[in-house]
Formats: sequence, structure tokens, C-alpha cells
Amino acid sequence: MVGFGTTCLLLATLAAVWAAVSSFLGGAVRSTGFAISGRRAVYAAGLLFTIAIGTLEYLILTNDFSVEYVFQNSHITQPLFFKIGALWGGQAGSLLFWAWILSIYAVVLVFWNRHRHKELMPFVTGVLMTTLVFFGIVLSIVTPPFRPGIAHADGMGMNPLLQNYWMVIHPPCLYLGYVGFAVPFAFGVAAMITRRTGEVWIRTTRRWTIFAWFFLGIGILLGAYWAYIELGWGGYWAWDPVETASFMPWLVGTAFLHSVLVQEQKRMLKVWNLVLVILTYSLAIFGTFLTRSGILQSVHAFAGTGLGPYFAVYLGIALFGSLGLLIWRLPDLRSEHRLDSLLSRESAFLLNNLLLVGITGAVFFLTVFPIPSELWTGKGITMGPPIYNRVTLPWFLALIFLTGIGPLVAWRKASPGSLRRMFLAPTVATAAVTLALFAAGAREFYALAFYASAVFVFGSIVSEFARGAAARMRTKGEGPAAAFGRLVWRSKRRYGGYVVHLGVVFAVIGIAGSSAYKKDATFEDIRPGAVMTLDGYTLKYERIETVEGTAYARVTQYLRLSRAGRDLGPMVVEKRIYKDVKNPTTEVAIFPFLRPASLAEVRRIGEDVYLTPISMDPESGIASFTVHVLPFVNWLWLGGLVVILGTGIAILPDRSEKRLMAASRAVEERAVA
Amino acid sequence: MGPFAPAGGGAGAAAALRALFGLAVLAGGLCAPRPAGALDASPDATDRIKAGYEKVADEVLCYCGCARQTVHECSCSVAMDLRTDWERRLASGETPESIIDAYIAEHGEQSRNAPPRKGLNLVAWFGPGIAIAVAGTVTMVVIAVWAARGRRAREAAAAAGALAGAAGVDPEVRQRLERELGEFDL
Repeated sequence: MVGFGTTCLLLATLAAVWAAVSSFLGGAVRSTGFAISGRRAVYAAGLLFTIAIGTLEYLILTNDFSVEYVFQNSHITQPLFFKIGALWGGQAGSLLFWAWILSIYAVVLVFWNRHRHKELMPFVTGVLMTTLVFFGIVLSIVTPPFRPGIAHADGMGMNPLLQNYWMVIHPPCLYLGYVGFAVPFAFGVAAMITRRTGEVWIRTTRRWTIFAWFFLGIGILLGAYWAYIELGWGGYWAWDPVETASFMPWLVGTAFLHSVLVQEQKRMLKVWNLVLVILTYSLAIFGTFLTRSGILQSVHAFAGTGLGPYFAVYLGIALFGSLGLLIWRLPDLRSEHRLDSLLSRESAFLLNNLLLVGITGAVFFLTVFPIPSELWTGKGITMGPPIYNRVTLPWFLALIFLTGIGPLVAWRKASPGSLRRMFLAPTVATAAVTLALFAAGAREFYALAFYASAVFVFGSIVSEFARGAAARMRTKGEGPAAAFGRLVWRSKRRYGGYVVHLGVVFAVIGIAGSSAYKKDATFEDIRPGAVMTLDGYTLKYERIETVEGTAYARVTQYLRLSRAGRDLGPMVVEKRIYKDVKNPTTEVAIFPFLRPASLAEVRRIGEDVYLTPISMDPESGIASFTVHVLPFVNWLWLGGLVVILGTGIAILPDRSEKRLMAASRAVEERAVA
Repeated sequence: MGPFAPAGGGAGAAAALRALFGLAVLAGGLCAPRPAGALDASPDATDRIKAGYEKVADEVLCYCGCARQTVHECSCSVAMDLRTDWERRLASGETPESIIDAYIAEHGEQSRNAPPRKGLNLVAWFGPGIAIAVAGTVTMVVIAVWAARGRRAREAAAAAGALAGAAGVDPEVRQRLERELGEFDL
């Protein structure tokens, strides 16, 4: 099977090579034969990568520990779900998974567009296949997933921390996002090559971009959720380079999703949109490079893993090659319209873009800063949350505030009267809530400012929905529910976007509350029967139990949570020790407070009581615990669900799409002619 | 029957597992991270010691192998020992700064949660913020200049009557019409 897998991988890479060569040739000499051959090679590459990844999964499922990758990432008693997850649990597997997802994206894209975009598609295919060739080469030379090893009786197993359902789902989401950004990038490059830089490529890739952005965002959120429930420190985001690696392309992707609206509406920002799509793709590759090369652990690890130089070369070619092409095509990319006013939606979108790209630049700078610093001073440094928060928080605050302004300002030019009409209600609501919070004792500047911004955005979104529904009720005579439903249905992209903004508001409330007002305490040497109290909650430590299972042994502690005499339920925590793993893992207990018993407890809706076991003596039962109370933290996860809902609405087809695409195509044909 | 009595299987394997588990648990939970505010429930610590401990523990990273957690966040036995040591030293009059300096001298500059605000690090602390502020200002100015130019161009075109008398339906005009009608599509 090892030889079979290796052969499939090699043939898949060769198919990708032919797909790239044939497609570029087909596009360059306008040969349908080459283009069709390239398309078929894409299908072949997709099939062969599928067989290769299927082979690796088969080796994992059948416990073939003679394969090095299987030995390192699985063991006999590993549950089936985690054996499936072991496919992307290690380096070689995750890169194969990356390549496989890209090949499937390419197959779907090529098949879907087999009768469309005849001028663009050969180049789109060529660019995608070039990326696939790169990953094929890396997989064949640097990190072969089918490398044979010593025939072990059992494997080492996946890292216990990764044996978590969310961690199994998180990487596929992340990769769907990372890889998905290759599609708009490929279309952008193809548009520049063919000089079809109008709105057709933008409109064609809109859904692909939303899809990639959505999955990258969900992947980031799932990663945060995994950190929250698995790592036991009561937090979800630590500005780790692995986190920033995925956050950067998501931020620039967000900027791109907003700025394409300006190109579609005003035929402006053509260069900017291409820059954004190039940056997004490059950051997606850079993110993979960052997490896989080990460069941030030390500059000396760069060449050590073998991956670093390959990624650096490919990234250089992709980034500078596409930027060079952009410079070459600058004469074709002049805007056909100009900004009419500083007080316009275009301006607001430009500022939004500036902030998103500026924050990305800051995060990028801070992420890589240890490298020049180490080269300069000879000492490594750590860039932790204090510096990231200090640098980015003011700009995030401005960005959230702008989220409330942008959608309400008119295109072209807003009059002072319309601004007053639009913003009066949100501004009054913001002032009222801020004063109320201040009166209630909220003094932490950023928390208060973020809450004020969240209320402002919420108010502007609600007023936008209300205005639209009222207009329908007035002009069409519809009832409130019908008017609201049809309003959203007839302009899914716009109102889906607003729902996404609403999700961001909830997330901001969750992040601000759980960061600024978090309470915690450590209780040492607690005996069974003893009681701990924090922030009005009481935890009674009831008993301890030790059990040896097949995969791991565990010490479980049972506690009971109550508040003001009301029993809220059990909290069960564990320490687990896996075979062949030095350190025990911690299983925390989390109680989400969702049902207040009195008016005074309403503000606690969405907060978590989070219990971490620190140490325990299984014989005497004496133990230490840390208890956290995290206000509003569940609003963050709720925000994620609302973003999913909004994206689901925005990605649905709109009835105006076809005629807008036809109009864009007519303009582009005229321009090319 | 001891606390690690096997549910089944060989006694040798069970004993080995028991020994391994016992060692790990007695090591104090090792890498289970511990969160901030660890002194809140410590009755022995005075306010000064508590504040001093938090200052130190928030500044430096634990060296136990946990993923970049401060001593304040980390819940391993190393962090617990450090806490005991630092509380003792603070009680004997040592300052938080001297404890931090000693810790950094022993474990290296990389043990700080963030680089100090001096030397080359100032670029990291203030460079990005200044760059965004400058870029924002430039963008606003550019937008204002573009808007003024656009206004002048429109006025000139209107004066020349260029907007009047367009015959037929140009695809470009149609596209704009579609777009702008879409704006009113509730």
C-alpha cells in the first residue's frame, strides 16, 4: 500500500503539471484542444489525490504502523473519529489534505465553468494547478506521507490535546478557507493576463470568496473554542503565531469582500481589489508556511524542517509574480469613476479597508518581528497578548464603529440631513446605554468603548431593517412579518451582510465582557466535602474517583454548583494520562449560566463558570482547583452562529445576479474589443 | 484495592500504568494551565504581596513546557512553586522588578510575555500604530482631493452639455442603470 500511495501521489503531481502546462498553453494560443486536455488532467489529478488520501486513511484505519506517519499519529485503541482526524493531525497528512482540498476545489470549479468564461478558465486552471504542483512537489520530496518506517506493534497516537471533536473539525474548516482563497486569486491573475479586469471576475468569484471567508472564520472560531474547552486557562485567544497565521488572510479577505462592492457599484478600486486578492492568497500560503516551517520558534528552524525554503520560494513567486503582473497591467486598471464626497459609502468602505489592512499589517509585523529582532540582537523575544492588544485594540475599536456607519451612508454623497436621520436613533441609544453602563460602575475604557460601539452598530442595523420593512409596508401594503421576510429575501446579499455584522456585534460583546470582567480564584488543598465560593457561586467538592481505561487512565472529581441556594448542576473535571504521553491532560468543566432566577441575575445570561483541576492526590482526595467566572463569553459563540446564519443568507443566489453579470460581460467585451 | 486497580487486562501493564499515572498526578497536574487571579483566595497574602505577585506573574512566561502561558495563567507545579517563592521574596522586601530581572536573567529574554519598551522593541510597540494613523490621514486627504476633482470634472462636463443627448442604450449606461435601480429594489 505504501508503494501504491506514493505512486498515486507522484501521478497526481504529474497530472497537475500537465494540467498547468496544457491550460496555460490553451489560454495563450487559444487552443480548445489544450484547454480541454488541461481540464481532463484536472479531473485526473483530483481522482489521484483522492486515491492517495484514501490510501493514507486506509493505512491509519488498518493500523499499519510500518508507515512512519501512521506510527506517529495513531494507535490501535484510538477512537475511529480521531483516527479519521489523524489524517490531518501531522505535518505530511495535513499538507496532503491541503493539496486534496485544492484538487477538489479545482475539479468542481472546472466542471462548473466548463461552458463559461472560455477566455479566463484556462488561466484560472493553470494558476490553481501550479499551486497544486507546488504541494505535490513538497509532498513527494520534503514530507512524504507514505514514508516507510520500522514495523511497530502499536503507534504513538495523536497528541491527546488534539483528541477533541472540535479540533478534528477545526482543520478541515481552516483548510477549506485557506485553499478556497486560491480561487479568487486564480481568477484575478487570469483577469490580468487576459486584460479582462472588469467586474466579471469579481462577480464570478463572489460566492467562492464568501465560501472561503466563511470557512476560514468558522475554522478560527472553532480553534478558539477548542482552546477554551481544552487548554484549561479560561481563555480562547492568545495571539499565538498559529492563530495570527489564520487571522491575517481572514482580515484581508474581509476587506476584499467589502471593497468588491465598490467596484461592482462604482467601477472603482480595481487595482486595490487585485492587491487584496493577491495579499489574501499570499497570506494563506504564508500562514501554512508559518505553522509548518517552525521559523518563529527560531530563525534557525527555518531550514531545519526542509519546508521553509520551498515555501519561501513559492511564496516569492506567487506574490511578486502577481504583483509584477499587476504593475504591467496598471494602464488597464484605471478607475472609470471618482469619489464624489468624503461623506459617502465608498469613502466609508475605503476607510474600513484601510483599517482591516492596517490591522493585518500590524499583526503581520508583530508576528514576524522576533525574526529580525533575533538576527539583530542575537536574542529571541516573545510577542504576547500585551503588545498585540496595545497595538491593535484602538484600530479594532475604530473598525467596529465604522461597521455601524458604512452601511447607512448613501453611495456617492450623503447630505447632512440624511446623516442626521440615519444616525439619530443609533446615537441616542449608544449614549443611553453607555451612560447606564457607566452609572452601573463600568470604568474599564476599552470595555466601555467596545460596548458603546456594539450598541451603535446594533442600532444602525436594526434601524436599517426597520426602515426597509416600513418602506415595504407603506408601498406594498404588506404586514410586518411579510415585509421583513421579503425585504431580506429580495436583497439577500445586503441583508445577509447586516446579519453577519450583527454576529460581529455579539462577538464583540462576548470578547469585551469576558476579557475585562473575568473573575478567578485558585483554591488549594481542598478536601472532599469542602465548599468554594466565587462571585456568588458556590462549588461543593463531593468526591474523587480513579479509573483505568484502555486508552488512558483518569482521575475524576465530582463537584456541585449552586447559586443563592439554587442547585445549578454537577461539574465534573478530570486529569487523564495517556499511554506513552509524559504529561497528563486536563478536562475542564464549564457551566453556562442561561436561566436567571431573578432580575438581578439577568446580566449574567451567557456567562460561564469554568472549573480547572490543578492537582490532586488520588489517595486522600485533597485537590486544588481554579474557578473562573467569564461574563458574556457565550455571546461570542452565539455571534459565530449568527455569522453562519448571515453568510448562509448572503451566499444564496439573488434574482438580479444574472442580469448584472450579463451587463458586466457586455461592458467587458466592448472594452476588450 | 488501590486507587489505580485495573478494570481488566494484565497486572504488569496495569502496575506500569499506575506508576506512570501516579508520577504524573503527583507532579502537580503539570501542564494544566492555571488562570489569572490565583491569589484571590489566598488568605496569607497581603495586598502588596498580591499585587506584586500579579505584576511578576503577568510579566513572565512559565518554563514548564505549557504553550506560552504566563506564570499567572499556568497551573503546573512549576508555577505553583514559583508563586510560593515569589510571595516569600516579596514578603521579605524584594521588589517585583528585581524578581522579574532575576527570572529573565535565568530563563532568557524570551521568557517575557512581551518585549520591554526600549531599543529596537520601540519599533514594534509604536511603529504599526503610527503607520496606520499616517495611512489613515493620507487616505482621508486623498479621498478629499479625489472628491474635489470629481466634483470639478462633473461640473465641467455638465457645463459642456456632455451629459445631454446620449443616443441609444449603451451597455455601460445599461449596467449603471441596472445597478442604480437595484439600489431601490427593496
